[in-house]
Amino acid sequence: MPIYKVWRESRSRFLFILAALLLITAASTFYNAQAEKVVIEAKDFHEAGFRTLQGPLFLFWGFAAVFLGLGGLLRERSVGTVDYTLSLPVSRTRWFLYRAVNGALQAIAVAVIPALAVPVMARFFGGDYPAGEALVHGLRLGIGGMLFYSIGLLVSALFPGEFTSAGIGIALVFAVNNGTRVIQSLKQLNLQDAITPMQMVDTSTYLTRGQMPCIGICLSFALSVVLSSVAWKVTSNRDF
Amino acid sequence: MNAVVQTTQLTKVYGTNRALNGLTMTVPRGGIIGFLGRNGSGKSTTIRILLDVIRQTSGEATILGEPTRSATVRRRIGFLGEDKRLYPYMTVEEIIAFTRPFFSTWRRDTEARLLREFELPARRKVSSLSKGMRTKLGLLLNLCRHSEFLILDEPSEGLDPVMAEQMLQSLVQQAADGTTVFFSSHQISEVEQIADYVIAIEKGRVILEGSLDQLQQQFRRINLVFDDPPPPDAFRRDGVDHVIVQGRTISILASHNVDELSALGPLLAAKSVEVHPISLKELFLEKVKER
Repeated sequence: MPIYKVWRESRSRFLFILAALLLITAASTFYNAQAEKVVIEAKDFHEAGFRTLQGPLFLFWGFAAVFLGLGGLLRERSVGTVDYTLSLPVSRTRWFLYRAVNGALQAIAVAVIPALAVPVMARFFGGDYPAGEALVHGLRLGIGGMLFYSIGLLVSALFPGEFTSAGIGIALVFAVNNGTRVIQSLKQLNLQDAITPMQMVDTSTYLTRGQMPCIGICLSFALSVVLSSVAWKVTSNRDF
Repeated sequence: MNAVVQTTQLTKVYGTNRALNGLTMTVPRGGIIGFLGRNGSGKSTTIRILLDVIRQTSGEATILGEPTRSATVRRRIGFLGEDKRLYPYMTVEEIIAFTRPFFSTWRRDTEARLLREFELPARRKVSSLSKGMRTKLGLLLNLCRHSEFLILDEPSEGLDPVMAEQMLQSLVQQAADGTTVFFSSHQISEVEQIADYVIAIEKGRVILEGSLDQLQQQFRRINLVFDDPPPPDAFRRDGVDHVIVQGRTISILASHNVDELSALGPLLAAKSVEVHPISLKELFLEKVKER
């Protein structure tokens, strides 16, 4: 019942974001392959695929995850449906939980499905990109990047305006990503590096090798749980 | 338990504005209760606290004997808001299918009957329905529940007279089926038309409470005409709610002790004494003036 509502209200947004990320991933993979003729000739999409997953997919997914976190009871207040929602026999905690889980699963899906488009593209051109590599990369992005999703969740619990929440959320994602890239003392916290650590990439094959360092991903995930908990606390206690 | 709602010293403060100022009221079980008040008197704030949409600053409120924060108590409640906003992305049949499983008392036969009577287009999106149609849909979603307690916030607001009448008759029918109906309004005529019991509030406090029959029997207007009116203080006695001096006429609103107050007229050399019953509208306006 509540899951049907959270799915219905987020369905169009999810499908739109998924389609956009699929398009970006496919276009980027194709462009990278075309840009280096050797790739087509060698039927090797490893570098083209890697650059797509590490670059455009990470960047656009980060912003998309913020959008997937938006909505909730505060948003419903501004469209006037919150009274009906809260008059139903469902606690605020359950509404929040259903929405948070639904959004988190959607965020993982829009990371994994476009990532899996890379091997499909490679196969389409008669080339090769390991599906397992794409799947693991998509999962690392979806789970490790949950921090971006929880930023969306938190700003939508704090700011009623959809545009305000989106603007602040995207600015925060930008700040987090760039701050941890530029500021020396924060470099170890960079999410892009945690998800795709360059030292783990074999530059001759552009495939990851060895055991992935999970600390960055776990830290990011733990932080996203903290932000989500704050969003839950705010939602539980505020007036609508 | 005879009360469906009990509030004690309920206060809600928004910044410097006290929307509710120690509201203490008891809503009795059974029948139709009109919750009367001017715009901004605190009616919607009270209802939103009862539904746990907002939280009180202080005081206590229970609904069907449970704290307002209890989600389970809302299985026994229906609610129709003032603007009748429902999920715009769902169709009529989708929102019915979504709401139905929350309520074990939902009646499919009532649903089918109301869909027919209200001529609701099942496949149409809620966003494309007129306010009248949204009201009908909101009523359907509530009436099918056959809940113990139905709350409506300004239900006739923005409706044409035909739709408003249809809605009021639905409430009468629902009350006859055993649901306690609690509806807020600033339209005294519709409260007088269907309510059995009235609670009026002003500036976040109860100013009038009782069954409509009891209030209409209890309160009287006493008009006394004098050649030389005595000072109003001469009428400050038990049973006098309000005294108005208009030239040579003194008008008293009496809540009780009417015979004794009428007898004051000859004693104070009144030329005439008339005792009139008072309408709910007059009573409400007098009570508001007192504040």
